[in-house]
Amino acid sequence: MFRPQLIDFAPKVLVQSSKRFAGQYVLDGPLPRRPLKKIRLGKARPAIYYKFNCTTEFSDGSVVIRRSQYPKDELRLIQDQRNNPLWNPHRADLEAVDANAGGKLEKFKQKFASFNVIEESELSTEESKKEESVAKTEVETEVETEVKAKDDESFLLDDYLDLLGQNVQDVQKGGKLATKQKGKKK
Amino acid sequence: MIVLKRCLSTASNVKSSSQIPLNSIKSALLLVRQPIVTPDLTKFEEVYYNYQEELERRLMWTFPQYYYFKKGSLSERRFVKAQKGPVSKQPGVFFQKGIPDIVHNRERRSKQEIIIPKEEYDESSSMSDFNRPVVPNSRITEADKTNNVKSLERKLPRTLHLLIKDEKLGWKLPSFELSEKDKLLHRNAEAGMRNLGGESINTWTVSRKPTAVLKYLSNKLVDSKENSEGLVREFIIKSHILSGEFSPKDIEYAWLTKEEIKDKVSKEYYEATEFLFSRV
Amino acid sequence: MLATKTFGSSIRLFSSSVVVSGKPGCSIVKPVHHRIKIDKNKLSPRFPELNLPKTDIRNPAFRPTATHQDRVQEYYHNSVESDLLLINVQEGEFTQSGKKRREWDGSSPYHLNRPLRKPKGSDTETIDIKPHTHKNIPQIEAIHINCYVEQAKDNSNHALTSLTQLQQITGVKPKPIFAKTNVIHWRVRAGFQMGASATLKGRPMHQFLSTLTEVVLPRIREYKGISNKSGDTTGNIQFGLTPDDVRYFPEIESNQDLWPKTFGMHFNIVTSAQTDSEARTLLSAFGLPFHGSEKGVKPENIEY
Repeated sequence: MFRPQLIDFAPKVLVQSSKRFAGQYVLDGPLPRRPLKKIRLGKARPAIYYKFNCTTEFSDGSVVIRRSQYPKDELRLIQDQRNNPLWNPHRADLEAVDANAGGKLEKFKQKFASFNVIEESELSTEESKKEESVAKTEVETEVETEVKAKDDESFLLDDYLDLLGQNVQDVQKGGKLATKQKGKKK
Repeated sequence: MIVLKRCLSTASNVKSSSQIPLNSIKSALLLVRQPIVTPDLTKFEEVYYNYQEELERRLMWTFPQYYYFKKGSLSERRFVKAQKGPVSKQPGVFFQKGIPDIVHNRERRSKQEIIIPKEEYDESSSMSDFNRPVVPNSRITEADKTNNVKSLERKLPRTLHLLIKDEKLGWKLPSFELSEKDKLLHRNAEAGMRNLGGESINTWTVSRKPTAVLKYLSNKLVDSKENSEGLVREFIIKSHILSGEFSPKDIEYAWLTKEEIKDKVSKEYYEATEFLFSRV
Repeated sequence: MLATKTFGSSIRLFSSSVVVSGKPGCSIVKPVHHRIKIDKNKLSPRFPELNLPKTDIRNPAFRPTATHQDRVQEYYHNSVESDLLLINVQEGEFTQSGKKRREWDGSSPYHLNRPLRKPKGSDTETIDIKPHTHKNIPQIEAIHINCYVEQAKDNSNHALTSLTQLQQITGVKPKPIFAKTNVIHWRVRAGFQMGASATLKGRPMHQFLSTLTEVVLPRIREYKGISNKSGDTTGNIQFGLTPDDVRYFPEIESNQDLWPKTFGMHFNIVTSAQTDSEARTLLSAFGLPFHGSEKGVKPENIEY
């Protein structure tokens, strides 16, 4: 068995193990690829890993026994098949179980909740544009005043936007940049 | 070989489908509640599984403690503290149970027993609901104790089948008349069941094909090979109850296992339908 | 066809020279070259216990299998099997033969000994669809897991980590997989260790399947199900998990700090179903959801 944690930062040269006393090997470095003890002919045993009987409770209270190698004998699941709307389509009460469950839009909104001022202002300017196109002939004066007021708001916002634009670095937008291909070493 | 074809002008001897009267066909419903918990083990199975498991425990490799617990960590110390160490070999000592053979802190002559360290369960703590020990619910419910045959929560390890009491024919599977509007057997059976037991039921019809057919001649069950005039055929559609409740107003009904059905229904009816009911 | 038959009777086929000459199929002069390979280890008196069957407890390779109640298998036998028969069986079924390789018409003498023609409209042969009876109710036979690690070409330790990952989540001993050929574009050379694979059967398979459907898949965000277009037309269904999905396995989730890196994997669920749609019906009984339109089936045409 290997410790993946160690392996990722393992030195390239394997450190030899030292034998302290009969039957016990102590490893000084990462585990070697082959077992240290030679398995004699006809003595090989099948891999029966040590397993624990882990009583697992699902979200609806049902209990099953899982045989797992991880040293744990009790496991309680909060989110599983029993409270997932995909597996329980007839249950209407399950939609709001996972607070984070939602589309990309939901995630975006959560992340940028503090910036919703901009969203509103954008919306309002759009609305005002629509209003302009529809109702220009009917009540010209009123619309003009409204638009003016909204322009003031957007002017105020512009100040903040200017601040946001400081220290801006150009970001590559889509597509791979043409790079010089490295020639083969000769 | 010459194939004889019926010409347009001749009439067939066989009755066409339109000539069979609609009231000679009925749809019946085999509504099944699946087992909710694993089947009960017999004494022999229990002993056999226990023997095989102990055999496997004996053949299991040594638990790789170094893999799951980092050396020198708190969790390792707690784990090591919880273990009952094996008796180590000492020179000049007589061991009653044989000389210990220990490798990697494991007695090789017997199975390895690992004890998982556990915290004391504190009911008053804020995490008490999540940390409480996992205890399975009882396999015997209230309905079992009171022998409430109308409850869906009885006999959890067994398959239950819905039976209703007919005034003329006694206990049987619910059956419904075909109507001109609802000619499809499976739809008719489902609709009939909902008329009987209310809308608050969620079912899944297994197939449009009927599982079996029962033949009646003047309200009496006859042999399946019988083919005389005036037969009433009852086509049985299989369906599962997934959720909800079957709650009719003025009909006697029961959710029964196979053995209980045998006691309730008539002998001929049980012989004709025995294969439909689940053994488990 | 007629032509080949006449060839066969009048002209000696090249392949049948031994039969024509009346000689036996193998040499009888010493040293005898056996057609059947003899395992000489079995002849050795040193390890008599190895000659016993593996189910015998005296054989070192013995391992107990029926160690606990198998709830998935029992669910299949008690609930699923009878329903599947009812769903699949059709009135008046007959064996529908699949596309097979065709014989040459024998119009040319060069047709002799030529490999058979390709099936009509297909490159490969397809299986016969037999009538559905109680004897061939589909069931899950095995799950093959394949975990190919691309990064292993640069750092072979990744391949070892993937072995450990598979061993942890399945509980069976995985096998390493190696690159078969040089692929210059991928900078992969033949013989590189490139990941792990495992074949699950019996109890480990059932536990893995239930863990997958009860714990792992429901926790994947915005999981829709296995694509209905998946399948190899003979009743085996394929799908995959991403490295992030693998983290939901209980063994890995309770040991997060040991797993800075996880690897995605592919599954091939081998069933004894004859077609993919039957296999999907079978798998949906075990809680695997499917999504999307099925090949050749329009949702508006399905009548309930």
